[in-house]
Amino acid sequence: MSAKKTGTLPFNWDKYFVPSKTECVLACYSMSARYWKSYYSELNLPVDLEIWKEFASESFVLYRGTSIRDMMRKTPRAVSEIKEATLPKISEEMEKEKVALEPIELLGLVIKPNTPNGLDSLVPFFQTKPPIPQILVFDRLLMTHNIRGNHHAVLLHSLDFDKEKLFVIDPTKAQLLEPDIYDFRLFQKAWRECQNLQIITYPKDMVTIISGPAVGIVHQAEITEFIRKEDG
Amino acid sequence: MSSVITINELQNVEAFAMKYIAQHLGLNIRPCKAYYVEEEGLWKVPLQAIVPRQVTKRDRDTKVFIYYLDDVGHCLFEKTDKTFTLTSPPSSGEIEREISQRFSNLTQRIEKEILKEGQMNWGKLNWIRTFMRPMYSIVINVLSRKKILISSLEKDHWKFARLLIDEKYIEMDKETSTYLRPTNELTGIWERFYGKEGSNIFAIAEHVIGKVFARRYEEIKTDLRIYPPAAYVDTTKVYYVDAIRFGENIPINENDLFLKYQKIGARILSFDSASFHFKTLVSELIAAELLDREGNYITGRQRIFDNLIKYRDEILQGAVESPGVVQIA
Repeated sequence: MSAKKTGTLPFNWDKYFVPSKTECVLACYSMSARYWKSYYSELNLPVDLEIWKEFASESFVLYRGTSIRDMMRKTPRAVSEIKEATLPKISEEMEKEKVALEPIELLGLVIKPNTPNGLDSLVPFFQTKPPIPQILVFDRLLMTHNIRGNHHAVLLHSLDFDKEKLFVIDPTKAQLLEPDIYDFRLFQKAWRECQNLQIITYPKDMVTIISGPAVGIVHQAEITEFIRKEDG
Repeated sequence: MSSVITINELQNVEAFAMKYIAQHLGLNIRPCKAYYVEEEGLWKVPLQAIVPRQVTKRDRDTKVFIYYLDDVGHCLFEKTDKTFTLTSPPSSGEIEREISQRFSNLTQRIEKEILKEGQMNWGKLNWIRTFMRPMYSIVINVLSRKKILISSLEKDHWKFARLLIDEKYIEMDKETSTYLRPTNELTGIWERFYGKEGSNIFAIAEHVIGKVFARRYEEIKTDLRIYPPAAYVDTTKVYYVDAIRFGENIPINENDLFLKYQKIGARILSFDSASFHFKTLVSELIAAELLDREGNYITGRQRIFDNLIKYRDEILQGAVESPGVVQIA
């Protein structure tokens, strides 16, 4: 594979890292929240894992695992900027019969699940300013023991296409305090088991994500320039 | 600065289902291979739940069992141009109930055995005494007065009398059907118990109610809608199901047992009330010889464990023991 400039998530381990042996998804949300708060202090985001756990407590007593909607049900509305339109109830959805999978907004932070068709598609998220934290969900037991098991979530730190390694921030590896290293081939198999699920978090209005055949990023300045030229 | 990111996404219908799962259902659910349902003109994605159950011993020795529960629900998709649109999405509640039911089915036999084990003692426990009080008063009255007028029963108490009639402890007088009287069975118990040390009419009522509770547990919950005593059965079941999974009587502290009790489904009963704590409940179960105490830890009764261990394969049906520790999130 050819060498690529991929970028790195500027992750401050002292400030952003949230260790958790059992709540990997919530720890990743919590780390993302800490990351974004350092850039946008006005964001009304909880940074404590305990608060994220509280949001998700409804799902914890159950068997389904954490879902974004379960967290939204528990999020305090008074301090949030959640629009009613983004929170249709299941019954309403059923009435409409067709469900659009729109990004969900939680306290000013958009949480959007994607299913990129490969590791290449993760690169543009490092190229925004600041880079967007990406939570990758995969089957860790399949990767380590070749047995289908439960999901695991990590925050992507960087990709090395030359060495075919990906560097991740794993909330269960508190002792490391540096990125854990996965092999592309093993990871891809385990990631595919979860349909290459990537959950990105970003402040509202920061980016627009488009699903299409090409992979890339266009900054607003370039868009403005393009529109200006088009207009004549 | 606003940017536009273009990503190339998987276009298979399972990937669309995965996004719905992440948003609405929870990450323990996984999409299986989709197939086309010709009659409906839709793509169907069956959903599998992969649920880990972790059992940890006092010395932190941990075993994780992963349950693969197939077909806990499905997503139906309509193909439109280059994309798929979800129609009739499964609700998280439906999936939840289905998974809960599957686990309940797996442990049903254990529950029956536990009910049988406790039948001599259930009637002595506080919440059973409290919530089944009408049944106690019927038994005490028919024994002390020899007969009671059906019309003297309060309207709601007839349901309790019905259970006692079905279990052949009391009967209606055949001529007029206006009285309730003890059966030979109940009189026989009274005679066997009478005069023995510590035995009185209340002890006989406790004995009878314990047996009725063990035999008619489901009806007491569903028809009589009496839920609090189920906490005794569920707590005992939670302990023994984990012990059997692990393969030995495992000492566990009360807090861990409480967390496990909370996780076995949406609990109707909470322990917020200062008047009755989970610890009290556990102490009662120890007094009833269903659980035991070992220092600061709760453990099982070896006799009960030995009786239940034969159901291990049944409990672990559809599960594998994980070679590594699995994240629960």
